[in-house]
Formats: sequence, C-alpha cells, structure tokens
Amino acid sequence: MAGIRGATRQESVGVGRARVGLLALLPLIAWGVYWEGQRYDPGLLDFKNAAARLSPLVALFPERAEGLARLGETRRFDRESLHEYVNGHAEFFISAGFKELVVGEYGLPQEASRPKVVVDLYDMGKPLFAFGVLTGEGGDGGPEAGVGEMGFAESRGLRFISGPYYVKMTAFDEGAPLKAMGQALVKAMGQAGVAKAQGFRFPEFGKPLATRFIKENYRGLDFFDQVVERSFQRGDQTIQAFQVMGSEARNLELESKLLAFLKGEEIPVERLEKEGLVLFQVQDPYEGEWFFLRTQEQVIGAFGIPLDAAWTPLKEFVNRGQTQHDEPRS
Amino acid sequence: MKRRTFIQSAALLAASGVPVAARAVAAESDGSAGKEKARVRSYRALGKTGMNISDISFGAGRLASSSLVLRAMDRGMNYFDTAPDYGQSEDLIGEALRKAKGRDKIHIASKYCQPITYQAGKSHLQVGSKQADYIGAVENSLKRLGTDYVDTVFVHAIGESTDFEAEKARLLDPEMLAATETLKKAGKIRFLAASSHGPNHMERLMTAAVQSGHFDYIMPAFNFMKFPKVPEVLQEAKAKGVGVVAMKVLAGAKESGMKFDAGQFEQAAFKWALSHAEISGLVITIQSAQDLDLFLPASGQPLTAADQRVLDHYAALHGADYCRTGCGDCLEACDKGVDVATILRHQMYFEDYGDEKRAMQAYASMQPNAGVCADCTDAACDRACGYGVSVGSKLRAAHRTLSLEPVVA
Repeated sequence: MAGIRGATRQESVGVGRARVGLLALLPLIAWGVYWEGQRYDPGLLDFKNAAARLSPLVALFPERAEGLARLGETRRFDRESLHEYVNGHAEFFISAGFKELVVGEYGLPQEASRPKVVVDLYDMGKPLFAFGVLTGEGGDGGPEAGVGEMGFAESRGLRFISGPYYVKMTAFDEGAPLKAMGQALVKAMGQAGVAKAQGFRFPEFGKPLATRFIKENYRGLDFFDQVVERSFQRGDQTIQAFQVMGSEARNLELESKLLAFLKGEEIPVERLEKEGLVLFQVQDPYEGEWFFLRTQEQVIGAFGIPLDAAWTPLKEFVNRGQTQHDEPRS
Repeated sequence: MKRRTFIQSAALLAASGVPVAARAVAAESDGSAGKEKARVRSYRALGKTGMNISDISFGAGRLASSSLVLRAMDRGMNYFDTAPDYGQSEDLIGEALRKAKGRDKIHIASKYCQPITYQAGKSHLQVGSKQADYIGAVENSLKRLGTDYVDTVFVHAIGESTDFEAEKARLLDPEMLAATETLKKAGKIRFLAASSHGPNHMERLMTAAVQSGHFDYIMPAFNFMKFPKVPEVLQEAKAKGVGVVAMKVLAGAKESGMKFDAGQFEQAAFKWALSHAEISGLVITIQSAQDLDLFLPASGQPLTAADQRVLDHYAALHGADYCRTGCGDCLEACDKGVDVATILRHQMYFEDYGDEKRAMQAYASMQPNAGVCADCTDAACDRACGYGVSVGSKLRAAHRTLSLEPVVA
C-alpha cells in the first residue's frame, strides 16, 4: 500500500507540475490567439476562400506591387457565389460568359486592415466576353488606361482587358499606383492572355473604323446576342462585319435560328458552296444584301459588302487557322 | 420579298462572277413561311393635329437597328418616339428613312435635349437655355435623322425636381416657346408636346400643359397599377382636344412569377390603356422583331375579362414591389434628400428593362444617391409609401446594383 501511496504521490507531483506548466503557457497561447486575430485577412470573411488557393488566377496576384503588399488571402467567387460580391449585378457578368472572379486587396503592411487598392480579376473565358463586359459596364469612354489590350481610367479606378481577363481596380487612396499595378498583372498573365486574344480578329474587309460589343438583340433579333461588330471603310462604303464566338453547338444553334427566322419572314436565303466553304447569302428587304457562315469557333458575316468583294479576305480569314465545320444544317 | 424576286436575286448573284453552287433554303415545306404577321389594326386621332397614329407605337429608346424601324413600318406602325439622348436612335431612324424613302408616311417625335446620357436636370434643356439652344438642339436632331423636319418636339421629363413652380417654369419657358414658334415657321417642327414620368407633380404639370394652350398633346405615365380611375387631366385633355399618348404602360414589366403565355400580359396591359377613349395611342419600347409579334396582336382589340384577370394577378404579385411612376409620396419623408423615385426608376431600367449601362451611367450622376441609405435606420420612407413598397431596402439594393461598389465586409 505504502508503495502504491508513494507512487501515487510521485504521479501527483508530476501531474501538478504539468498543470502549472500548462497554466504558465496560457498567457502565451492567449497572446498568440490575440496576435493572430489582429492580422487582417479578408479571406476569413467567407467560407469559400479555400477554393481561391486552387484557382490558377491566384498566381497572377503578386505578393508585393509598387510598394503595396497583398493583404491576406485572395478571395474567389464562382457563378454561384458571385452575387455575394456584386450583389444585383452578378447576372450581367454571368450572362456575358463569366467563369470566376478572384479578388485581392493591397495596402501598407503596417495598415493591414486598410486596403488602398482592390483588384477584381474576372476570367470571362474568352477575349470576346472580356471585351463585352469592358464596353458594357459603366461606359465605353474615358481616358485610355494604357494597360492591357484596351482599358479606361476612371476617377477612382481603372478597368482593362487582357486576353480573356477583365480587370477592375478600385482605389481608396489618392495617387494609388493603379497603372503600374495593372501592368504587373498583365506581365504575370504572360501568354495566357495573348495567345487567346489572337482569336479576336476579323477578315480584312477594309480600313477598320470601330469595334463594339452588342450584348443582345443584334439587328433587332432576340436570339442574336454576344456579338462583336467591326465597321470598315472600303472606298465610300461602310461595311459592318459581325462575329459570335461560341461552342460548336452554340454556333450551330445560332445558324439554325437565323435560318428559321429568315424563313418565317419569307426573306430569301441562298446556300452557297465554294472552295469547300458553305455560306448563306441573304437578300434582305430590311438589311440589304448580307451573308454569314459558320465555322467550328464562330458565326461570322457582313452587311454592306457584296459577297464577291468579300470573298478573298473571308477565305483568307477562314484558312488562317479557322476550321470550317462539315455540313451546316438548314 | 417573294419567290419570284428571290429567283431574280439568285440570278444576279451568279452574274456577279462568284462561281457558286447555289440552292434556295426551303421555306415552303414546313408552313413556317407565309403566316400572317400581327400588325397595327387601329389608328386614332392625335388631338387636333390632324394626324392618326398607330394605337401601339414605337418607342426607340434602345433601338437596335434601322431594320427594326422598317419592319415596324411594314407592320403599320407610323409613330416613332426618339430623343438625342437615346444612343444611336436618331441616327438609326435616319438610316431607316433613307431606305424607306417615305418620310411623310411616319410621325417622328424627338425632344429638346442634348445627346448625352440621361442626367436629371441636365440632359433636357433647362430654364436658362436660350432660344438658340432650343433651335440648335432640333437642328442637331435633324442632322442625325437626315430629314428636314420632325413632326413633334417634346419638353420631356417634366417633374424631375420637387419644386412645382420651377418645373412649371421649364414647361412654359418663354425662350422655349419663342424657339418653338421660330422652328414651326421654318417648317422644322410641326407640333409641341410635353411629357412626364414624374416623380413629382406629374398630374399637376400635365394639367398645366393642357391648360396653357401651347401643347398639341401630352405624354404621361399611365397604367393599370397607378390609376384605378381616369385622372382628371386626361378628361380635360379630351375636352380641349389635346392628344394623349401613354407611356410606362407595363407598370414595371416585371417578369418573375408570371405564368402567362408570351405576350399575354403585355397585350392585356395595352388593351387596358387603350380602353380609355382619352388615349390617342401608347408608346412601347421595341427592342426586337419578336416584340412586334408579341405586342401587335393587342392593336384594335377590346379589353376582356380574361385580360383583366391577368392584370389583377400581376398587381397581386407586384403591387408592393412596384414604385408608381409619378407618385412621389415618399420624397418629402427623406431628410437626406434622396430622390427615391428617380433611383427606383433607374433600378427598373436596369432590372426589368435590361438597360444596364444607361441606368448605371444615369445613377452615377446623382447626388446624393442611395449610398447614404446604407446606415440609415429611419423608416420614414417606408411609412410614407401608400402602396406598401419597402422603400429603404429597395434603395439599398438599387445602390448595390447601380453603383457596382464591391461588398467589402
């Protein structure tokens, strides 16, 4: 019994010392928790933050830029969660092809709870769609941003596109280095943007005058949306060329709807085959003569230019990397 | 274009030198071609102007193409409402006129306005503008339209401020009236009209327009949600031979929760407005060729019990959600001076009309805007709304929608 009692006393002493040790650690743990709690991390504000680490877009956000440091983790939003960030405006992006958004905040490290610049990086999937939201959101004018392929400077920010990416930078401080930060982002994008941007081109029908994005109801047709239209000058004629870039199935659907509409309106359509291409020529009492054709990647056409005059640039365009689909269905 | 013309065009193409294998895309076999298209069935006298206008007429606010104007003309529409601040609208109508070669077949109405995105108190010429400003505005419209005259010019959007006397002064501005006389004598305009979608004093201002004797017709907001009975101003207009063209007939055009066939609600709302003898016609924004198919079946048709049930259902769904155009009861309740009705109108343009860009641009020019509502705990605006609209929460939602400010927690 004595032995047992002695062992118990020794164990008790050991347990007591451990308790004292743990008690001594408590202030240290509390200090650690407090210290951690003082670190501003916007990523903690939503539970989807972990997904941001999985997004390749995160790699585009530098840790430091122009004297500012990234504050905490980036945040990621997908089609389901976008409304949490741009409440009420999410549909605008989603209907324009939105894939994901990553948001990073930058500021001085010693003022970690006060971001000076917020960078919204939208992956719109295609340069066309990025172009669409740039020109469709809040105006298509203003001073040139001088960043990316196209962009506008605003009183409190900067918006620009590079490849399939639409970037919106909002400043909370006068003199925030938006342009330099934007250029750093474009550099980080590297070939990802440039390579895809090459698909955003037109046949050379003449001297390009202007390019615009029409979100919906192109030419007053409710099924004809997400169109890029480029006008050209050719002699004294103005030509309007259009293209819709989509999946093969979407392009086929658009072609079918166009043909069905024209049929319903009793507007004559002629199916032409020439040098392996299939296209449709329309003798339209409202639009004049126009034509369109479908490739795997787009539906493209033009108003205001006879097909014989359009043929050479059109064929060059199609042959230069565009693959004609087999048999269009009418 | 019929088959004979088509064959001719195919022959022309072959003659153009393009070596092609061509065939017509069959249009006759499935019966989709040749169906009679809905068209205007009724024309009404526009006050004492001597003109008869299509009962359902063309609002060109977001005009997509000149071809849409030509399609509408083919369907019998003869009244086109445009403005310098409607984007490319005047240019595209001008393009249509050049193609149609029938200027005298249609009535074009434009506005004393500048070609800038709508900003309350700025876009439309204000008191202080000179005769030359009014004349210049019309002459610029004529250049864009490529025509020698517009049929009507509007003093538009009367009632933007809460100051009735100031709004009345704009309505009856001697500089504007003198410019109008000059333009009429020069054959550049034929008629003068006034319009209002509020938010302030709409009925009083429209009454002032009617009583002044200067205006050939008026264009108020008029729909089944706002007016359980015919407003006195319409009766007075009728008595004085002043025409009335209705706008905002769809009462917000909200779609959610509606279980009707395509076009059923719109046609019911049009028939309701046109069932009032005081109304010369209505203007509705036409965005697509399909709109013509949806809207024109209502032309010349009486309002039926089934139509009324559709409207009652809509009112039950959206009655507490629709900010009545021209009401303005809540405006005095806000001690921060937030222009509730105008903000909610822009929100309606964004959400229900799909006119996002223009709505955001117009909202950006407003001061104060609904950003000041974020921390406001005063529910006075909610209490002031006699229709049960949750004004405060709608304003906060509108700010998030229209400002694109990120929700940074």
